[in-house]
Amino acid sequence: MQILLVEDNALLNHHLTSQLSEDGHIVHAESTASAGLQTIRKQPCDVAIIDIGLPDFDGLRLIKQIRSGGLATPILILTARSSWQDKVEGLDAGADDYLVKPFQIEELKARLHALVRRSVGFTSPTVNAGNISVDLNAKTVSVDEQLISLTKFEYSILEHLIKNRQKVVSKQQLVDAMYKTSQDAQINSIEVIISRLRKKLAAVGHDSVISTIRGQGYLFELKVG
Amino acid sequence: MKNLVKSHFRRRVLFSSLVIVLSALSGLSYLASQQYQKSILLTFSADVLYQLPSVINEIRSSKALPDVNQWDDLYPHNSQEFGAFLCDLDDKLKWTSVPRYQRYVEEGQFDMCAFLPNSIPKPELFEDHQGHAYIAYEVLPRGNRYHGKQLLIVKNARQEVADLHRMHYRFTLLFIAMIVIVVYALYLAFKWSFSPVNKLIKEIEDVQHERKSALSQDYPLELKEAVGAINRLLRQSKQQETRYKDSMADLAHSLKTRIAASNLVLTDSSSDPLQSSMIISEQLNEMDQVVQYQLKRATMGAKGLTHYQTPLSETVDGFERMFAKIYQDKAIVLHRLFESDVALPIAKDDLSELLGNILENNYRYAQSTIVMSVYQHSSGSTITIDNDGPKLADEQLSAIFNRGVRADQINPGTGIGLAVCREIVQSYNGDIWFEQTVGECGTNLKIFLPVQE
Repeated sequence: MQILLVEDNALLNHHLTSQLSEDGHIVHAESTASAGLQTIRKQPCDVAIIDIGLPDFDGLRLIKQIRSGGLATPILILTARSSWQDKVEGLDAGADDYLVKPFQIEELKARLHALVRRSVGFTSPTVNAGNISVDLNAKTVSVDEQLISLTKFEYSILEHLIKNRQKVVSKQQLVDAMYKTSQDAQINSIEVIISRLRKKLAAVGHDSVISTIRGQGYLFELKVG
Repeated sequence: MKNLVKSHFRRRVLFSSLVIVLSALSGLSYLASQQYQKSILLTFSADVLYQLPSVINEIRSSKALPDVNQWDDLYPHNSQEFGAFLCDLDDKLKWTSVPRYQRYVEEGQFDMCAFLPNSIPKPELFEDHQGHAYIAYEVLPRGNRYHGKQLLIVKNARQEVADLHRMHYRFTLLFIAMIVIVVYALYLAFKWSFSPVNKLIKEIEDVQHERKSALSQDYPLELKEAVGAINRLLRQSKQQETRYKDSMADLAHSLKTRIAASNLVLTDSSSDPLQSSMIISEQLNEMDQVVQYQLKRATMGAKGLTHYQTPLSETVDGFERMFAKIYQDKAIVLHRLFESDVALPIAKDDLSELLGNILENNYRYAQSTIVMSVYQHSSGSTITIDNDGPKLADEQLSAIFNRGVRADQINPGTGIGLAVCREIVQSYNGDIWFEQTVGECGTNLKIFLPVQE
């Protein structure tokens, strides 16, 4: 998923970016509030991690500006101030959860997944569509409890389609979700990945789960519960 | 009576001032009455003198008594200092009952008629620089219709003037003595009246030099509140100091121990790098918890003399908005069984820290409902918070606040929230405890906050 990270501490910024990228996420790392605001306006993200103490203006103001722009991206605030009043103010400004520094990376990842899951309407980390089961935390897909071997890109596209179930997802949207920058060659690679994904799902009895809507994009057909 | 005066500062000052004023007034009244008595006698003497000619005239007219010329035997003139003088219109002495004055005029030594003024309607004292002093009164004024001569009765007042000067001297001495006595009396009165203030200053000095830890209670009513406030501040300052010292000592001990352990792990070449990194991470996590706990412990708690009354609803509103958002999947309902205007005797920051930790736990463990109630009574307020989550085991209840456990021994993973809550509540002389409820779920958390002194 696409993550906006706004953190001014270079070391923390670098290691968060590398650890989240290793998990297959696309991280847009910024160190100032104004740069963070510009990025999220250009590139809508699935979730944002915002530090409260930023050099140009504070994180609370950044959150208010994101919300006033009509963006509903879930926001996790990072704060070194442990007073409850700061946490209340952060959530009142429009954040969805908080994490006090120092934190464990596992805790951060769990919070991010919970926020994204909630934002797309899933209440549990395991999403079921018919006999297909997707574990959003473990990033695995199984059919009738049998794991299907998927590449990182295949899984990401399936997760994106499931999250946007019953909506047509364009190739460009998939490119945006998968890559930091958009190039023509990537559109072709999306087609290749979709084709491989369809084959793997057809092998377990789901040959028409991803339909092509001509001229528009793709649609995940199964009802998700 | 003694206690009635001593127990009130105002009464002390009033009482001593009253004693001085009454003494001075009594002295003045005595002097005034003496003076008045003298003035009555003087008035009578003057009246007698003034009425004398008419009395003599009446006696003569009545013929009831022998002619006054025959009184010489009865009232022989035997005073050399008292006599009659007859002066004409040119200030020449025509006659005097004291012959030596006639001689003085002839010898050019002293002329009574020239010395005295032309008109003396009332008895008066006349002095000059040569030491002459006479009290004179004219019985017949100059230019009268009988013979036009002035008839004077004159007394040599040298002795009286000397007496008067002696009296002035005595009065001056008396006045100085009075001033000294009054000033000393005032000094004693104020010293006695203000002795509690002096005692207070002395006791504060003793506290400053660590000869005493608190002020005594034996003070007049007006100072009792100030003394109580100073004692409260001293107590709080001592507690705060102890907390700082304990926090710093605990912090240093726990950090150094963990740094030493981490150093050993890092330098141990035989250990597995993955396991070492896990141990270091665990040590860092524990150090973080200890730092957070000790920082909060050192800064929180009752401070100053403020009688806090923090509205509860306002604080709960903020937390309810926040936790409802964070735990929106659980759709928890927070029931408030207290009036919207309830205020608690605790500082806003401390109430926020207290409720933040407690409500976070409740939202985490509740299934769907949290109930919060407040019972206010004469000795303080009791807050009860309950949820429909799993019950805590009995053996957990006593250990959960880490009672009597040193800060560096806090069990990692249990968090510092409730330990901080306990420290906050205790700094307000309150209490915090768990109570098992009847039934399968829920363990009541109770907090008692006493009314502040």
